[in-house]
Amino acid sequence: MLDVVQDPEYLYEWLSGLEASNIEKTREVKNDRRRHSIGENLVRHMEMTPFPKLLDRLERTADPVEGTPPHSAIRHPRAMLDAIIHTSDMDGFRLDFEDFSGLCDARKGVFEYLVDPDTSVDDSDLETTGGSDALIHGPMGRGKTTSVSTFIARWMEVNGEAVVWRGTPQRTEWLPFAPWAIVCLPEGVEYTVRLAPPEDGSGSVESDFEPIEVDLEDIVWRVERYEDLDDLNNNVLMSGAFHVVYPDPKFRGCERITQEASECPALEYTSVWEADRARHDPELDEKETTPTSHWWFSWLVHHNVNEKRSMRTTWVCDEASNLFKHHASNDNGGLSTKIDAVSQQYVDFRRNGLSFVLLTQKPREISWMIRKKMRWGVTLSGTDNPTGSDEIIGVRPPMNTEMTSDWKLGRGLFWTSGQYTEFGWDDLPRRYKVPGKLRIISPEVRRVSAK
Amino acid sequence: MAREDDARSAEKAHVPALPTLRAQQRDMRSRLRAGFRTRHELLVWSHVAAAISVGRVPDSWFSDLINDQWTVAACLDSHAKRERLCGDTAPSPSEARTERTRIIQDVLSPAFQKAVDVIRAQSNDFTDEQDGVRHVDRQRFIAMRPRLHQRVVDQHQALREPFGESGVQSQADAVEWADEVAYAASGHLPRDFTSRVCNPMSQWWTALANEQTTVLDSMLAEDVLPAWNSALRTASSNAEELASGTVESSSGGNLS
Repeated sequence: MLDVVQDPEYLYEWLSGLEASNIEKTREVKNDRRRHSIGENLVRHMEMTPFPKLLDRLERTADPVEGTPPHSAIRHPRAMLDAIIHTSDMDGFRLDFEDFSGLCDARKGVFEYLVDPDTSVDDSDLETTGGSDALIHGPMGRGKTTSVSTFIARWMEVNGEAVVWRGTPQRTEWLPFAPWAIVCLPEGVEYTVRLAPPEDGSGSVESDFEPIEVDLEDIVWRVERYEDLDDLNNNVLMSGAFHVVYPDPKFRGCERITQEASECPALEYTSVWEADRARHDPELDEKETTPTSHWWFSWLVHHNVNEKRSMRTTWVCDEASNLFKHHASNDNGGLSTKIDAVSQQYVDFRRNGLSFVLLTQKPREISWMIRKKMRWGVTLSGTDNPTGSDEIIGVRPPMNTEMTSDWKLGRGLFWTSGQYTEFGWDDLPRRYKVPGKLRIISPEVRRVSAK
Repeated sequence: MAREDDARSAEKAHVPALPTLRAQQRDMRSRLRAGFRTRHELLVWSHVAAAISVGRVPDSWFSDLINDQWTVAACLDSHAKRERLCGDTAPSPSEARTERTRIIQDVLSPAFQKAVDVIRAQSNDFTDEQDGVRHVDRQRFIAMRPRLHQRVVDQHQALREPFGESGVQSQADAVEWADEVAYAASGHLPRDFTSRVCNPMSQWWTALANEQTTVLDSMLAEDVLPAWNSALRTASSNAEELASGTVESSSGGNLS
């Protein structure tokens, strides 16, 4: 194993050899409702139990407090199931008339479970229509990425929704899902993709290798280019698929979108090229470059403005405190105003089917403007769960005692107002846990910034 | 068997089988309109009404209902039964209908309305200023409080016990039963309730030991049901109630 890890070519081969068999035969690709979905394909490859069977299992699993079935996830459905099973007004009709034609097997199975009078959860127990949210917090190494991978697979399987992972140059925790990933890059911006060695804690320099350049298309399912926000959300993002989106350093469409949105301040963006031009043109005021990550604020607002397409989407934001900084000021590209804008738009995200998933080690490092809008918390083992009047998210934690700090790895608490449930997850299959990191960087942006 | 069915249907009215509170309330009204076979069935129904209203029916109502022969007669399902109870003064079919409607108007409707208000008010802590939670009246557990729900189930079991097959035959049984009744009342019964029930000279003990159903119904309506109603009211007002207790790390609930 160490040989593989230390040899970049082996690692590259491992990564490019992973495949999502039959993904090209899915209903989303073939546009054929009789076929299985990308989410179901992903769940099968990850060796997970299909969700309807999981519900049956939870019905038979003893509750950790009561000692008798069903499990607390079923007894307290608002705690977790409500955040996993996303429904629309249309689904309300489906459930009322028990007409599940056209749905994939997993969603159909879940709906059949909800209308079955002999099961413990009724569709009326799931109160949320549209999207949900989750603030997932836990210390490093306690399974934030693996747990969110499990949830992503479930969201895709059960809801057939698009998942968008916030791509950053340094972090590629999405790599186990590479064979399902559609990597979306802005049009007209060159990127280099390097495979970097895993971090070696042994202290031996010799075991590391220099990053090697690789072809992204060999590694992920698809690489797509988008022209601007409209193009990305209306043409490129695919319903039911997993996407890793890298923000556009040229911010195309970003200012216009916020001008069109109601109850949203007009957000301003300055690309590295504009800032460079201003520096060299005495007639222009000098401008400070907006960090590329600020593109996400307009991408979020776009969901409330977009009239062309309404697609259920889950946004996963790793290291959320880097984007939604606590005590953000406006010195840094108007960050405070942008966070405020997203906060104001937040309720409509849910209504428009956008779910909001933030990952962090320390929730309090995320701006309260955002946290106060959130309704679900996920506390992983190894950290204290909030209790009583702790202000972690916008609902009061229902727990009155500390439980999670000494739980074993792979366990967590999913909670909302008045209800909570323990849950667990398995590690992903070993073959998908490729050591090493992909670095997707735009040399052009770096070059201009350095000037 | 008939008693078993009766118990099951009474219990079903407040267990998760019925999808909505509103449906439960509708069911309660239609059962009253249809009439009851016995006074005991009426008593069990009145307890379910207290549960569905999360303790918002008046505490004095149980005794008014069960200990007034004419009202009981008006709630029975046949005129022959009414005559057996009240003789010549038995309510006519039309008077029986009018009396049941009065109970719906004066007792059930205000109590059920208050129950919905309570639930709606308590749901505010998970709404925000722009977007409230929908369907607050469609809940699996009574008033969204599983522990309150459990309290109702405890009460119902205690209510059934003296009338079950084994009944309360010994003083040990009586102590056991009285403790269950008191536990389900969450401190709303006098502290000497168990000793009163088990005192061989007491009316409680006589009624229990001799299976005097009518007397038991009467005393339950006078002393126990009002206390249980208060207990439910208090429990439903306690917005601090948690969904479950402390959870140890276990292996259940695996999502993979």
